[in-house]
Parts: sequence; structure tokens; C-alpha cells
Amino acid sequence: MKVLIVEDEIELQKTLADSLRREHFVIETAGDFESASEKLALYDYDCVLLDIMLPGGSGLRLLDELKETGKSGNLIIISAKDSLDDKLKGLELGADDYLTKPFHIAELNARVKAVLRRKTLNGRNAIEFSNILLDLGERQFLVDGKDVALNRKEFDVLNYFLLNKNRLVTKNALAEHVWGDHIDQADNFDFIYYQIKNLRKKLQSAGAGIEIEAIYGIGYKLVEK
Amino acid sequence: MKLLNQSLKYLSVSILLILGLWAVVFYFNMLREIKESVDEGLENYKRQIIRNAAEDSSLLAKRDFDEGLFTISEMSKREALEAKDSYLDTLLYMQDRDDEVPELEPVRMLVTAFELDGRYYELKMINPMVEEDDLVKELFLEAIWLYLILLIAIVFVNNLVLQRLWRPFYDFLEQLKNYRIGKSKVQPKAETQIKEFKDLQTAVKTLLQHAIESYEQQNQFIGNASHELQTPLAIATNKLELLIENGTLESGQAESVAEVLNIIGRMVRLNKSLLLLSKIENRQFLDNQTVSLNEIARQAAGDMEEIADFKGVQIVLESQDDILVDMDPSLAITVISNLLRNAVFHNIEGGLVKIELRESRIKISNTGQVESLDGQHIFDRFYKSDSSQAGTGLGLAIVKAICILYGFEISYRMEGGLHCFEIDFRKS
Amino acid sequence: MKTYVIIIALALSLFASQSFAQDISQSQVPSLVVNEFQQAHPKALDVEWEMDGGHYKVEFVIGLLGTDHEIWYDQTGKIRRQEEEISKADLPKAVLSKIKTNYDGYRLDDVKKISVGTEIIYTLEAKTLMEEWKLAFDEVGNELSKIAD
Repeated sequence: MKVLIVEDEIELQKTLADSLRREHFVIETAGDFESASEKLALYDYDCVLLDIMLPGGSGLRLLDELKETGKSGNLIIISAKDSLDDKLKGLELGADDYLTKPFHIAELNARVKAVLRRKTLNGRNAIEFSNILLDLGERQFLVDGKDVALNRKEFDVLNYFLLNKNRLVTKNALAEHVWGDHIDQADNFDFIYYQIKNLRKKLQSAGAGIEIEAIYGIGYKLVEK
Repeated sequence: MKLLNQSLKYLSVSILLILGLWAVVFYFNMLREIKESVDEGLENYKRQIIRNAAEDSSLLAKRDFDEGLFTISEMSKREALEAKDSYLDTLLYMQDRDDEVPELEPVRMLVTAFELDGRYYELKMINPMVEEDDLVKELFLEAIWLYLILLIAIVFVNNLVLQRLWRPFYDFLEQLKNYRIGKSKVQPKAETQIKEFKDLQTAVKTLLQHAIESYEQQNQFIGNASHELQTPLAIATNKLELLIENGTLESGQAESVAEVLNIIGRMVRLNKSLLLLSKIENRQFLDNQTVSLNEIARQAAGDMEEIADFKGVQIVLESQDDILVDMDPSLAITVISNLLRNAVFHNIEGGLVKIELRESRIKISNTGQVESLDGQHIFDRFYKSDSSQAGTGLGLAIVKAICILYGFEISYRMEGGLHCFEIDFRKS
Repeated sequence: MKTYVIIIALALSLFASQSFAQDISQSQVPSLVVNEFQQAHPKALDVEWEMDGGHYKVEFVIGLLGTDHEIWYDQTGKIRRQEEEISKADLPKAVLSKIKTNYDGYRLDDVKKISVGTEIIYTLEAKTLMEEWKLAFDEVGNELSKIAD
């Protein structure tokens, strides 16, 4: 899988590249409009992360170019500008997602993988790992082919972990992803802990081959047993 | 005091003074005029009497003032030589037509001397005078009447003038009263040719321009500053997350990094809230559509359910009436979820949150601390009733800003021991 | 002849006397004088009183055209002297013929009739472009004085 990161902020570019490499993607980077335009014209990428505000031109213009050459798709806009206009325009021009800075690495992973899976999907929208299967279409969770009942939020939590398997998912990232902005109070990490505890119990009693590890009190990691 | 009354006050006082002074001067002038006229009459009368006396010597023996109002008496030559015509004000017993008995009446008297056939005579003539106290009384009444008429005329003219001349001013004032920086689109303006009003308008316009500029600059600054912070915050978050993930840290170090991450998380939330606020105030939400608040309230309650359960708080939703509002859906969600979150987090174990939708109003009430909150400042930015809380202190400020944006009315009160926030979604 | 001298002296002195007169109001004039004057001249207009030496001098005009009169009274109201402006035509024939003989071609001006007691003299100014005379005559046409002006 080949991913192009178009981001003028070098530190961020490096960090994103570093993180995505851990997912075993092949990463290329571009720091301005010109080089991005050139790379996009020469090569095909499975996924493009595109900053809108670039030296030399707007990322939206790149989107335009891509659309004209029929290479649009699998593109995630990353922008500091949480502007509805830009978001709508970007999505209209064929971007698959819009991610506002700052974001958690886990969130980026999840978005990238969601985009990639949509591309490589063969009619079935599901994640398989170890002895479990998460069917996103039917919203079913199967362990060894047997249905395990999860509530809506538990399903979302598990999905998020599976998109970030073997990666750190901080409590903040998890809370934002699953409960939206509704828990922005620090003392409610207890609530996350409580939710994770329940999910762990269900995984254990169903005999799932995965488990959720706690990492230094800051977050969790889903690993195979 | 209104301009009208103020000018009336000054005018009435100064007119009273002028009129008073005028009445005194007028009184003395009139008295002098009367005396001069009477004196002239007396002098003509004198000539006539002296001429008549030359022809009719019986007149020379007239001793009293009955009939003819004069007396003649002989005098020595010495006295006669010294005599000069003199006019006197004096009192005489007289019987007017309207008097029953003779009364002392004021008279003007001319005393003169003449010579006839080598003998000298003193001639006294009188003419009844106006009674001065009558004159004063009369004049006083007239002056009061004049004063009243003038006052009425002034009130009338003043009103007319104020209404006509000052109309642009009052128009302008009214517009200015209703003007809100950042809200009103049209600047106050009144049609006028009057220089002072034009100057006033120019001055106000300049002032407003400055205020608007600094207001916009302030808004833009917050927006820009928040924007510029997004990327550095992104880098910091992501780098620290990767650092922890590397697993090369000792657990103590990792915990420190985790703490820093949490603090950055707070900064991110604060920054997002500020951005949202500045966007609301810069009217960057224009995606207005008809929104069902019942639906939004239901969703928000659903989203909060697990957290509320965890905190032991019960959420009750009572949708009595359907409320449809024309507004940006994301802001509608923000308003209701912010209030709901507020109600859940500032609650007590085993507490209650009640959402009621009735007519055009949403009321969210919750159990919580016993004392009422400071209704004056509760919607202020960064106001925290309890400094230990980890919230941004912007949640209610954002709710308020959205209400102001759409002209909704929001209020806070204690009701039956519950903290109660109510929004009326009728646009005012 | 002696009285003539006095009259002439008096008449001539009057040309210069006016500036010494002092204006007074009627109320300062004795009643006897005022009444005497008023009885004698009921139609007098623009009456002005002056104190002239020991005498009360009254100036007034009579008629619409306003011929000037001046009368000097003593304290008891007796007339001491009287001057009146007259027209050239009102001069006695004797005076007129005298003027015609002696001052033919002169323009006559400021003709006055002056009475002092029973004596009457006439004064006038006779002018040509070159010369100007102040003349005084008696009733029968004797030229009493001739002064260059």
C-alpha cells in the first residue's frame, strides 16, 4: 500500500509518515504544491493525505487536477481549517474524508484504513483478525463464527481498536471517536475504563483470541493473545 | 430631563424675569405717560380758565372744587412773583359715580398764579387720577395672562420645533439604541440638512467604524490564533503518542508523557471551543435548515445515556410539542448537547436531568449543588462555578453566543431546587 | 437822539447775545410770565424758554410756515422786548422806498421787526456778491445803523 502525505509542516509530515510506516505502508511525502502535483501526476497512490493550505497553491486545486485526470478517490483532506465550505467543496471534488487538525494518530489510522478497505472491499465490509470477525455491514461481532452481543458503543470501540490493532489508542482518541465531543472532562476517563472493562469481560467469556492491554494509564492496545 | 422640558424650564424662568422687569418699567412709563397727558390737559384748562376769568369776574371768587374742578384765590404780589407752575399728586375727598360717600381719591393738581387788572390770583386745578393700586392690580393680572399665553405658545412652538427640527436626531438616536456591533448590518443614519446633526452622524460613524474594526480584529485574532495553534498542537500530540507507542520509555517517564498529552488534550479542546465561538460570532454558520429539536434532543440524550448511567444520573425526556427551528443543524446539536452535558456533569449521584420541550421552549433542569449559580456570569467565557473542574469554561458561552446569533432567549434560574436552563426558540 | 443810541446799542447787542442765554424749562419760569405769554399767544408752537440776563426770553413760531418770534419778559410778566421775523413786503412803505433808493439791486434777508416799549425798529441784511450790510431803520425810514458784515 502506497500513501502520499502532502503536508508543508515538516515535523507533522515526518510524524505522520513515521506512524503510517508502522502500519507497513509505503510512504512518500511532498511539502508544497509543485512537488505534490508532480508526484500525483507520475505515480498512483492507494491513499493521499492532503493539506489544503500549501505553499504554491491550494490543496483544493490539486483535488481539481486529480478529478480531471480521473485519479480522484482515496483522498483524505487534513486541514487546520475546520471550515464547512472547504469540507463540502473537498468532498464534492472527490475527497473521501476530511480530518481537522489536531487529530490523534489512532484517528488517522482508522480513517486511512477505512478508506483503503472501501477501495479493496469485495462486497463484504468486515474485519477479520485472529478468531474474530467484525461485520460492519450487519453490525455483528462473531467469535469463532458465534454471535456475541455487543451494544452500539462497544461495537464502535472494538471497531476502533481493530482499525488500530497493535497500536496505542489513547483514552482521548477513543472518547472523541466513540462519544464525540461529549466527554471532554478529564475525570471521565473512569467512564472509559468502565466501558473497556465491560468489553474485556465479553471478549474473555466469548473466548476471543484478542485482548485489550492497558498502556501506562494513557490508553489501550488491542493485541492477539 | 427631556430637551423639551429643559428648554421649557429655562424659557419659562427667563420669560418670567423679563416679563416681571417689563411690567415694572411699563408701569412707571404708563404712569408718567398718564401724568403727562393729564398735565397737558390741566395746562390747556388753565389757559381757558384765565381767559374766562378775564371776561367773567365771578370766577375769581370760586373757592371750592365742586363743578369745574378749580379754585381761584387772591394772593399778594410778592407771593405771585415767586409762584411757578407746579404739578402735584395729592388726595382729595371726592365722590365718584361708583362711590356712595366721598372718598379720598388721588388727583393731579396744577397750581399757578396770574395777574388780572393789577391784582394777583392763585389758581388751582385738579384732575382725577387713576388709582395706582388699581393700576398695579390690573397690570399684574395682564402680565400673568401674557405670561400664560406666552408659555402656551412656547410649549406649542417648542413641540412643533422639536418634532420637526429634532426628528432626525431622535430617529438617529433610536437607531443607535438598537444598534449592536457585529449584529446590526445597517449603520444608523438619518436624513438631515442640519450641520450639527450631520457632524454628529459623522462622529458616530467614525466611532462605530473604529469599534467595528476592533471588534472584527478581535474576532479575527481569536480565530487566526486558534487556527495557527492547530498544527503545532497536532505535531505535539502525534509525536508524544508515537513516543509512548515506541515502548522504550520507563513507566514513570511514560506517565509524565501521558500527563502532558492530557494537558495538550485540554488545550486542543479549549482551542476548538474558541474557534467555534469565533466562527459563531463571525457568522460563519450559514447552513440554515429546518431542524427538529425533538430529534436532536432525543439523539443527544441517547449519546449521553451511557455516561449518565455511569454517573448514576437519570435523563428524562418529555417532548410535549414539536419544535421546528430554522438554524444550522450542527449549532442546534451544540446548543442542546452542551446544555445536556452541563446538566449531567454538574450533577449528583442518583440525580436527575429533565429535558422538556413545550411550545417553543426547551427547558433542561437538573439536580446539583444546592446554591443557585451566578446568573449574571454563568454565560461568561471562562466562568467556572468551581475552579477544580476540568471543563473549558466555554460550553455555556458557546450556547449563549449561538442564542444571540439566532435571537433566541436563554435564561437560568433555580426552580424547585433544580438548576434550570431554558431557551425560547421564538426569534425575537 | 439819545434813545436811538440806546435802541441801537440794544438791538446790536442782541446779535451777539444769544450765546449767553441759558435754556430753562417752562416749570422754572414764573407762573405770571407763563400765563401772560400763553394768554397772549395761545397758538404758539415750539415754545422754548431761556434765561437771558434778568429776563425770561421765549422763542416760538406761529403758523404753519413758522415765523419766528422772540419775546423778553420781566419777572412780573411785562414785555420788555419783542422780535419777530417778517417778510420783506411787510416792511413800512417808508423803509421800503428808502431801501429801494439806497440799496437797489441788493438781496434782502433776515428781515426783523423789533419792538422795545413803544419804539419799533426794523433790521435786515442787504447783500450783493461783493458786500453785505446789516441795516437798521425806524418806522419812518431813517437808517439808524449800517454795519459791514
